[in-house]
Amino acid sequence: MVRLGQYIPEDTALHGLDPRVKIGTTMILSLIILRGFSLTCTGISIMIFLLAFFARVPLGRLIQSLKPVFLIILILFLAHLFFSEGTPIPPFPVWKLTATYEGLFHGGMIAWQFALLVCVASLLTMITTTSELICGLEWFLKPLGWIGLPAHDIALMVSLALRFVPVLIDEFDCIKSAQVSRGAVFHQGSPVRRIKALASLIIPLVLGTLRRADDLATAIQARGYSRAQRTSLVELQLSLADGIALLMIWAIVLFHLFHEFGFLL
Amino acid sequence: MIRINQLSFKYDRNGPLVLDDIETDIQAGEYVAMIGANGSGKTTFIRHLNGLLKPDKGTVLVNGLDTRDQTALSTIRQKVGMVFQNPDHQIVGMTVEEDVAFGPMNLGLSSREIRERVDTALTHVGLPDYGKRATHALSSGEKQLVAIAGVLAMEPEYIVLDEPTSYLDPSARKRVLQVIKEFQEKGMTILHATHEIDAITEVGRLIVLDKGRIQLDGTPGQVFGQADVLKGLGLPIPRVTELILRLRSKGLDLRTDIYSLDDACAELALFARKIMSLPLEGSLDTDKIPWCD
Repeated sequence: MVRLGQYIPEDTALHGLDPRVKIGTTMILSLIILRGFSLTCTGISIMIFLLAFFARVPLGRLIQSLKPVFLIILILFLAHLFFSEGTPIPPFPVWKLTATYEGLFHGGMIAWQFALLVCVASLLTMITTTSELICGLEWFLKPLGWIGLPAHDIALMVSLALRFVPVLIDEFDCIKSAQVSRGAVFHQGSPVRRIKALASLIIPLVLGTLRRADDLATAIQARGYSRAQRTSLVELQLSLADGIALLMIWAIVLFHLFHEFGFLL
Repeated sequence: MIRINQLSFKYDRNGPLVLDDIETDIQAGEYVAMIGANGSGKTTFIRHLNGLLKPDKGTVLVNGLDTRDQTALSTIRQKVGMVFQNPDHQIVGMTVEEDVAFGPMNLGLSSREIRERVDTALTHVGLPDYGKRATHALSSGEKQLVAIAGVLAMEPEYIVLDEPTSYLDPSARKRVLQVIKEFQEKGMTILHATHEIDAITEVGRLIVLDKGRIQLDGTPGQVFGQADVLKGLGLPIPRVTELILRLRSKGLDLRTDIYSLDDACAELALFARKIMSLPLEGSLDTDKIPWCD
């Protein structure tokens, strides 16, 4: 079972927020994280814990979401640790490797920022259904319509892509079983052999996907899809809770601006 | 009414004619089945009915609107709902209600009206509590019912089904056919293309397509009465008709236009009464029949 997005169905105030507010908050928090100040990052870390608590998201699930990117975080950390100029940490330098205090600080900071970004994004998908996300995304893409970008089409594309992930995984399993039952071997032999064996999986999958895409396009057309005046099942409306959330985000943004460019205030 | 006027079509300019001078009407309220072997042009014909394909020659008029008129297309597609063969290739929503809402969203309805239509459509196909379910986790039969609900939510006048049961198991097939029958009873116009000859004995009219031409067109009785023509086209005939034909070949004088079990029973009973000089109606005294102990 794929848990893409890993939405956790709960009935909390955070789940009930307007998806636009949630997406906007995620974007603002990400920008603040990327500015890389330890004070604001500490603030955001505490905030993530609090949000997770109020949204009844188990901390374990949040930490689990870091698992796929753990290796990248580790590499980032080590790269900074060993390739930054500065004061060596004893007993370094060992052979040609030098770990520095500066590297330790930068590496730690980068790893922290990266982990925070992943946590913020995961939190968003854990408390927002995919349809809400797409609805919100469409709203954010709307202004792009002025320069000719089709927001509806992009939103439909994203939702179709997400919709077909589990379908394609099923199909992949099906093709694999069919090939294995006819004697195909995928996990043995030289790399060249394995890649060749993989082709017998990939080619039918790609062909099947193209055929499916063709049928789907016909079905979408038959159901009257056009760019003109589409409406939505979910009507986005800001509530009082959304207003409070927006005020809090503004407070965070102001705090950050004050912290970074104190002279502005 | 859908009026098909001398419709001809080919996919490639130099290729063979897939539809060859088709001339027919589909009247409001009719329940029409279309049968034909693979490659006979069924799907191509059906895709002309809502402007997915445009005729090379001739016209297709839906309530007087020409499918070649680009400005009429959205109206035509709302009037003519289409259900395809593979349920997996026509569902666009992640959840059932999103999928059913797709058509009404394209019509530009308010979210309240969309919600109402979704609920009504799902109730009609017998899946009232399925709104929040993920579409990929449904069975094939349920998916096809969701696809049908998606068409219903657009409130069409005509429903065109292109082999809607060929991917389904027997129980799901029965359910889908039952839903289609209910639409017909509510007075909707239905065109049902299929391979399964036994599934369409309740239609009012049967069109047989071969090599892009209409070979036979009439009531099921009239069409199945010409069993040798059907066999010549490589098409199956209902098992009941087959049975009656075999009995005829043994010398029994039976009607040829029989295709349903009820008709066959009535005809055989009548035949038995005739040869035994029994009254043609009313109940029988079994003592007088020699082999009834």
